[in-house]
Amino acid sequence: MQTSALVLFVIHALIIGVGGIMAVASRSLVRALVGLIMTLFGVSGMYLLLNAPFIALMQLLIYVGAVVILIFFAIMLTKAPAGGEEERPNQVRTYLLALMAGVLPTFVIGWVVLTDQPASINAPLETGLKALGQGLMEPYFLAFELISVVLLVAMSAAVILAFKRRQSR
Amino acid sequence: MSDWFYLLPQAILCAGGLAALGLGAVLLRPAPGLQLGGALLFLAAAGAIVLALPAAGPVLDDMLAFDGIVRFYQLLILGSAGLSLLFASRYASLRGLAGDELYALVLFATLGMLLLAGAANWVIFVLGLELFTLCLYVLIALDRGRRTSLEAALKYFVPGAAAAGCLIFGVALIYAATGSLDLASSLASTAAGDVASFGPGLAGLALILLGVGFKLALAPFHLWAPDVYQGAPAPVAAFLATGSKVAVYAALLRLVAALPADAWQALAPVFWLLSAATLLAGSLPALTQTRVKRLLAYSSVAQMGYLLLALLAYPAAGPAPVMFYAAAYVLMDLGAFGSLGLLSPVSGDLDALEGFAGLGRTRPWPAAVLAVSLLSLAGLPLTMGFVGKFVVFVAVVRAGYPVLAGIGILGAVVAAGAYLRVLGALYFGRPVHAGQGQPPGPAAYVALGLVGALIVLLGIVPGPLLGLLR
Repeated sequence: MQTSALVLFVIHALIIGVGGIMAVASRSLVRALVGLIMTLFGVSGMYLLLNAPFIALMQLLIYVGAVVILIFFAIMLTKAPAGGEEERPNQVRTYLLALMAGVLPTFVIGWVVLTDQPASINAPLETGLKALGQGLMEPYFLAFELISVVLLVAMSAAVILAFKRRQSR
Repeated sequence: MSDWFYLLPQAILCAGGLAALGLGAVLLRPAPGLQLGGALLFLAAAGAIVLALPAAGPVLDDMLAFDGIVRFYQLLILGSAGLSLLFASRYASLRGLAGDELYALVLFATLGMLLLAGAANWVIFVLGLELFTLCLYVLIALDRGRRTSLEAALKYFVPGAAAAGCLIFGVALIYAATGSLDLASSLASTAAGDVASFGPGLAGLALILLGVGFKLALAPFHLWAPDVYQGAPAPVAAFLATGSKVAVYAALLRLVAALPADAWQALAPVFWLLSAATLLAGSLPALTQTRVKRLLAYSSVAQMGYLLLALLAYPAAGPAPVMFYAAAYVLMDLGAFGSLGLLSPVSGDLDALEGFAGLGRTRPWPAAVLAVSLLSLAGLPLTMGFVGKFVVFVAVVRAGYPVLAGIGILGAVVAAGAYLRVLGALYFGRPVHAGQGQPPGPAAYVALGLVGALIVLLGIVPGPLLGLLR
């Protein structure tokens, strides 16, 4: 059981890593997006390993199913060259900054996880769907509703900024 | 009394925002008077309920706090939104900016500020902050035909998004360290003696302070302020400078009050450095500034420094100085930016010092309120700014930070020179163009009268308000 979990973990980590490198390194926008899809699939598998099947499903539905497709549409509609004319990041400075941006969060999160281990790290607990829903709708009800207000404002703000004013003066 | 009553002011503001958007969809060109009156009605209804609700501990599963301090700050925020709208309505309709979005976004932003001022949970804290920042991004870019307006919005948006990221990462660290999203209990257990959660907790607090410092334009993170205030339409700048800052201070005050003693000891030097840097960074550049909107932006940075001074003295002197200074700050900046908007011609906001020459004679009322606000910002006697600074300095010296009080007084003296230049231009300059700008309209006169009278009145008889705050 332990060994198979370890093997699965390594496979998913590899998928995430390879997808991430592909998303950053490939010159074509569409290929980069395919890399992103791979990474998101891998993350979804990690959620399964963490005993959170519902979150894994949502990850597939929302990120792979909706967000990536939306980005595809954005690429098509803005007529961005799918072949990519991105500048090659060949300066040392860019690599150094990227390394820092990667190492710093890893260090901080690693520090927190190592010094202050939650009980669920060794044996993942499955939170039932019912408990999850009750958590969202009972103590966090206000936050849950507030998110809808924030989304509404963000959406209408985007419309206000993007569309032409219908009355002038 | 049911907990749900404490959600009524917020629900009314949300309904008001939706009604403003709906009105714009149903009537193609709603009368500006109808929109302004409706928005003010919703704000007043929310204010009346805030006044009437009895103080209580955290309500709604410990999501919202509602004590005397929260009530005061929420009233201040609602007043700031109402006065900004009074200043903005004719300003906006003259420039073709008075769509439904102006009123709806101000109401939604006020909702976010009320939530932040009353947040007792980190989730509400972050959501309230993001809600009003989102509205402000669009309000700053309201004049989309103007390059400077768009540039200002972008300059607020990009670092603002990064600051929001820092803030959320900080909240995540605190959650990881303490296992609680409750503001008070997570901060209390940050320092409950165990070293394991103290480190990540402090790191989280530092990141949160960084995010909050950006929103407040505290010294190392204040560089966006002059450009944004200069580019934003003047009444929007008034709202940005007053409502959003006061809401963040209300949250910061509760944060400091919830900090245990040893965490406060670790953070007090940080606050010391931040306030000294903010005072200097706000006061010194004002001296050479010839653009009045930028000058006001730097002055608002300096005022944040005074508020931080008062916050530093909070554990020793109680909340009265910081609350009184917050009220003074709101009135002064509303008066300054609001009357600047009224004095400006339609072609663009007044900015260069020469543009103000002689306006004291050609446009006596708005110029008089601008003058009173500037005198109050400079801290001259008989104004609310003087009483506020006096109360803050006394509290700071009593709390044992005499050096910081010295820096504050130095900053005030230096900045006063800059304000006097504007006053000189207003009253002793030769008018360059006669008949510039438009008549302000009755709504703006109400706002002008209220702001001017309150600054002078509370400067002469501050006793009742100070007594109330104690």
